[in-house]
Amino acid sequence: MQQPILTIERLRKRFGGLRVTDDVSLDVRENEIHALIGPNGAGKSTLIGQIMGEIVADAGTISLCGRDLARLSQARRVRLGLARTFQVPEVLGEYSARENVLAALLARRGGRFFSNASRDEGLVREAEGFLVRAGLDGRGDQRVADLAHGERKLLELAVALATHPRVLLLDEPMAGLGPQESTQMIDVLRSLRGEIAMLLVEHDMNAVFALADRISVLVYGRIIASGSAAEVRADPLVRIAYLGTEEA
Amino acid sequence: MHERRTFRSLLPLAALCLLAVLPFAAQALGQPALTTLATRMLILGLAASGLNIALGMGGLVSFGHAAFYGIGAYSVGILTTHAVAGAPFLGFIPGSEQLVVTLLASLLASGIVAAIIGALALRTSGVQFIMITLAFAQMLFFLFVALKAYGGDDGLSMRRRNAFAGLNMRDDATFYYTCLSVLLVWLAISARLLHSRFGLLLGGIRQSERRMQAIGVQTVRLRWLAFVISGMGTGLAGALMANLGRFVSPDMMHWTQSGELLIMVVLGGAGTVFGPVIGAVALIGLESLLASWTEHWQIILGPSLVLLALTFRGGLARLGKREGR
Repeated sequence: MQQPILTIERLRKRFGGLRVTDDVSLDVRENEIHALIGPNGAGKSTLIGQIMGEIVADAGTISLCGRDLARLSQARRVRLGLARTFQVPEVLGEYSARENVLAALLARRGGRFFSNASRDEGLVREAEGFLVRAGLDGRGDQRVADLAHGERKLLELAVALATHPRVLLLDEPMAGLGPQESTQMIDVLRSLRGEIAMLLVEHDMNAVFALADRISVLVYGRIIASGSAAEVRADPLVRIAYLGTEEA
Repeated sequence: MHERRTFRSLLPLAALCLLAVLPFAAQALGQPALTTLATRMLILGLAASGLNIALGMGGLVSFGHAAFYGIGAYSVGILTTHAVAGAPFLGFIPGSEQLVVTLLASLLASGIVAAIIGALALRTSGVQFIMITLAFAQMLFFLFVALKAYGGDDGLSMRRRNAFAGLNMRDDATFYYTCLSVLLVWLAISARLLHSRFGLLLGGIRQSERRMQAIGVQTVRLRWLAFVISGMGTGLAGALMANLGRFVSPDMMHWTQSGELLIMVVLGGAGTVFGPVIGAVALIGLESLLASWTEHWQIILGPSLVLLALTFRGGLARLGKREGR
């Protein structure tokens, strides 16, 4: 079996009286797409926030390639190989699509702080490569504020890839996408399989079943089931807690 | 469209020519005071341009930049006073009347003060940041009001302007060209910053701090650096202003001065290279024009500013440019 790269053990987080992360243990193995599903408010985005270091957990450990991430800043975690996308795309609206990717490349690269960035041809070509990977070829000059929602989602993916991640944390990449855009996103993500491990938080079950190697179900901050698609589908707890509410 | 673009690219060149001949023109028109007025515009343009690094590029609404303006001015005033008295400042820093020395000292002093204020104020954001920068500036204002050794609220007068390379600095035209040169160097640095790796990342933080953190940028450190550079630019302007009038007073640190700098940046175009200078020229020009006309000039200035702000959204510098950047 493949080695886990990202390991979460007994993670806990409370907001006041609300247990948003309740004893969560989870791992993402090398080259695996691990889907995390669950109804709204189950604590999925909060979990991503904790992995990135944006939100501090109350207890438990998160480690990347065996290295404990506690007390590491978000910048350090990104350098170690974590990247994320947001449910509502966080992109730089005044910049062009290419500049958005350039920013990620520049953040990685130290030194030459005051040199002209957008004239560095090597960097520009590298940025273009990530745009192509995300299916945004020819859109580099487009101002991001003028991009469609689906394109912004893809752009976020290109930006995340530009940080050269080992694990990609995807917060509902399909949210708000039309059928065609969803298909494109699934294709792009599938093309990354085998290169980058992913934790895929998603509501779109078609996407989950199309992509996931393993599925975990998070309800009210607790993992209630974990396993292959077939196992999770057959789990009686899941049927009640998750699929049941979906049908209702 | 094409003609318009060439017109726009020629505009800075035309402005530069105009600035180059201005003292001669003023002399020919029999209006030598015009040179001093223009010098004031250049110096405040520099001050606003300094603020622009924080405000326009970094999105940091500092309501306390008068503090750096005043610190820069007092650096000159205090060093000059000690040079004249022959006693070192704090017992070990020798005074100086050399412009190069006093300008470097003002850069250093305003940079240090900006580093300290920035380190504390940047823990907050939004309205809190505005209030904290304002509070720090007011603290310094009252400190210098109370500092009787350096004139208290009467301020400090200087016998003569600082010396520079054997030039006759008493001559207003010579001093004008000195200020113009400093401003041009500063604008070249600003333009470079805007397109640098630093500028691109800083602009990113202004648009979405969360995004920048997620790609591994240490946003607080970068904003702090912007704040320090910004304070230094405004401090440099204070040093020149101290030389222009041969006078320094706590009024330079008053919050209304911070407000005026903010108006200049916004009026001229935040985040652009030339905008803050254009804003300074517009505001001071409007002020002196109205003041020569009526005693109650402020009644007219206020509505004019509102009108200008509404008409030229994004600032005067973006006039005629296509929508957006």
